[in-house]
Amino acid sequence: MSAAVLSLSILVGTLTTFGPPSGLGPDIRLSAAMEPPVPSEDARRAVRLRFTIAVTGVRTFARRPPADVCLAIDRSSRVPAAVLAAVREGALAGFRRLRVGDSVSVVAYDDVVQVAVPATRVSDWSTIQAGVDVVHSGARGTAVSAAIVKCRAETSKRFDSARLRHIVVVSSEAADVDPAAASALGSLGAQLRGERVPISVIAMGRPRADDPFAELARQGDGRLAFASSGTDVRRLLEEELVHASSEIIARDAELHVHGAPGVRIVRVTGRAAEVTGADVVTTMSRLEAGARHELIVDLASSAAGRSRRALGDVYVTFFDPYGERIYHRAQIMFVDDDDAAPRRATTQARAQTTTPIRGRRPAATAAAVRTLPRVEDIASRISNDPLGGLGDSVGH
Amino acid sequence: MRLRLRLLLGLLVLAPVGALAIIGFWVARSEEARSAGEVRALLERKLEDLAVMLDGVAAELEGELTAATERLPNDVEAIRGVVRKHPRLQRLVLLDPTGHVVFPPADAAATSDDEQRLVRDNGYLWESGGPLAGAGARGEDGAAITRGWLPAADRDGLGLLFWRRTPSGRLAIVSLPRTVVQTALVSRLPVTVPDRATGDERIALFDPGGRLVYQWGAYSPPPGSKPLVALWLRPPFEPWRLAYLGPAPARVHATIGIAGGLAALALAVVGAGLWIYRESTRELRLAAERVSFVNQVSHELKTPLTNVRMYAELLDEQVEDPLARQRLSVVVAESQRLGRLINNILSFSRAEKGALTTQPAPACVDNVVRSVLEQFAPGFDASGVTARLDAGAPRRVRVDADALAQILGNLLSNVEKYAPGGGVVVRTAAAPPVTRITVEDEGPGIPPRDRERVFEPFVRLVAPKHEGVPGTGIGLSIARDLARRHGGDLRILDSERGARFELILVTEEAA
Repeated sequence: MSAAVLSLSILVGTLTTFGPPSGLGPDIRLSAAMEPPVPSEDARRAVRLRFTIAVTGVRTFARRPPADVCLAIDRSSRVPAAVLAAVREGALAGFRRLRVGDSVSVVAYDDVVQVAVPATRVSDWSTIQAGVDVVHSGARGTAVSAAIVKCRAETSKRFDSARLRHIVVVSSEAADVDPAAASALGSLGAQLRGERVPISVIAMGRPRADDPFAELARQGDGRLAFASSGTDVRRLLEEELVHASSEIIARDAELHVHGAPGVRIVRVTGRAAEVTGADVVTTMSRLEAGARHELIVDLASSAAGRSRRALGDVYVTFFDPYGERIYHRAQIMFVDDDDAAPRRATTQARAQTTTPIRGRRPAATAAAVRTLPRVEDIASRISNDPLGGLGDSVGH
Repeated sequence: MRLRLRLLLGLLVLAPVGALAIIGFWVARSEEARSAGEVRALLERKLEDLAVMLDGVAAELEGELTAATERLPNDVEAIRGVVRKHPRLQRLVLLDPTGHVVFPPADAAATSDDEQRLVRDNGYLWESGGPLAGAGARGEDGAAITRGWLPAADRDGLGLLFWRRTPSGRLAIVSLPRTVVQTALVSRLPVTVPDRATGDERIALFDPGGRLVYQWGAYSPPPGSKPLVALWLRPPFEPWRLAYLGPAPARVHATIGIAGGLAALALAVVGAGLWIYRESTRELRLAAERVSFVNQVSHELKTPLTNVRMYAELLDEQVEDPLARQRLSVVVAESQRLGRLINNILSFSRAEKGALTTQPAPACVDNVVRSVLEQFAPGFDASGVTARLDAGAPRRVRVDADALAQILGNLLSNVEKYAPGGGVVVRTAAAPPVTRITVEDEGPGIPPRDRERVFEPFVRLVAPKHEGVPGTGIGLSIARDLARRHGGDLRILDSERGARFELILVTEEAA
């Protein structure tokens, strides 16, 4: 990698009303790296940008909104009884790690969907345990999509957008009931991602090409793990439930990449993203301690002959854990340096954190984003003052 | 006789029971059809209720989308910001009042592939001639229709497209993929709760492609089961279908009820039949009792009769006076006739008990026939009957001579009684191992329709000219029984005149 990496640190604590003193909280680090270009017809004009959002540091201040977690358990006859017992154990172990105020629900499915535990506060432990205990092996079918839909309903019962919602699916190796196709499960995941309900999947068996659960987890902004034994399932499930209920630093984060004029988005990998012309947007429902999300964007630039040119800009927005009030942004700019030795492109950027914009509706924050200077403006300034002008142009 | 009576009585029982069974099962089937119709209507109402419930999904989506498109900004980027934040507006097309697409922008570089496909695939809707072109359609009341649903194909199947005209005249179109529609419908449908029975039923939801997307209920349909009832949902979800699966309606109960009723009726009819049978066989039983009495009396009479006959024959040898000898011959003949009568009664009694047997022994058939004819000679003389024997069975064979004599005696006795003044020819023919004997008289004969009936016990043909002729009606019955016991048969053949009996006996050659 020949890229210079510039990281942007955002001190959440200084911008939120509940966080620890400035400098003590974890960092949300946005890294942008320029990598060797991918092979293409015109390699000189191609460039790969890797964006990483990572939460570093250890949060010592335990606080987050209450969470509504739903566990969808495949109880079909494909799941051995011992593995199903491990799932029950893992579920109870994970539920015990939740906090007062959280709620859990359990949906078991074979060819039909059963709500074994309706949305229940974790303090009502006997109800949860009784519900989990009745999850036993059933028929051969696997109505996984219907189970996810019912999980969605269970996590929506509170009608409180401030609460965190999360779905964890424990599935046998393959689903044979609609939707069988990976794309259909992916569509369902994307729909729920849009509703800020991430879906994680623990699949039994080995990964395979076009795995529907991989697509579900990718589109659903969740995590994917494969378990080869009951012990694995138990461990992974407990870990996932702990993760689902862990501290979050931010939520509903969006990473925007905006290509400069003449730049074409060739490919986006790493995360599900919306590509609109030269714009790429990926969303992350939550950012918790230790989280790391990568977005890889392959660009092709038609601009040539300039010594320095802007490839685009990127900014990240997110909300505080409670989903209201606090809105953050940052901006980085890339400049491809053609004057350098062959394939020695550099990335330079200036960043500016802005004053928090307070608003209660996403629409308000979207309007605020529009006040940011577009990359075209930035590029014009670069031509005169490549580095100096950028910092001044951002943040008004 | 009893067999026919039994058959008749059986028919009398079975016919009404059978008819009632047919009627009963027809009624049962009608009842079952009616019951099935009611069950079907009930199930349809159940699905209708679900369909009505799902109407709420359409109303909810419509309300949500109407609100979301109520105040869309004018700026493209601002619209994109709204779209990005609203899960339902991911696939939005916005046209200005002049019908030009405002969003997604026409610039391909500023739109995603999905957006371009959305505009391309649905452009026919707002282009000239399309259902949403111009000011749009108007309702029956003349008012402009400002919102509605249309089917729309997407990658996952057949989804929905919501459109509305905003007060400012813009046309907002939102495409909802099949997955979103499915999520909305499934969210509203019930689940199977493990600790509470959801009834012995299974209700399934099928998408526009006919794929099973959701089902609930405790009933597990066997593979290949067909729904009892299916119902297409109402607009805008009309390509979606609900189906009810469950065990077949309880048609068994009606059948069992009918069968029980029929069984009771059959018992009643059988009881009545038995009563009728008992009453109708009373005479037979009385006759049998009389026969039994006569049988006992006959046994008592046989010994003195034998003595009478023996002493009459001895006396006949000693008496010289012709008149006395004539009178003695009458005594002998009458004692012989009485002997035949007693033998018949005793044979009939044995036949009724199943104890009638034959005892073949070496004998000459012609001699036996000749002897019987000699016995009848006095009687024939008195009746004016001329007897002739065409003997053709001179060899000794194994034959029950007493049985053969009894058979011939009964046949010749009938000739004596019913064909006086005529002739009778007896022919014997041996065709080992069968001996055939025909007795042909010149009497009135027996009508073809009665040729079997006359062999039944106690049957005597009624004819005015034969009134007063004595007889018991068991002679021919005994004769046929004996013939059959002897491996042969006795039957009546066609003849040009009078009666013609053919007696066939199996007569092995004597060693």
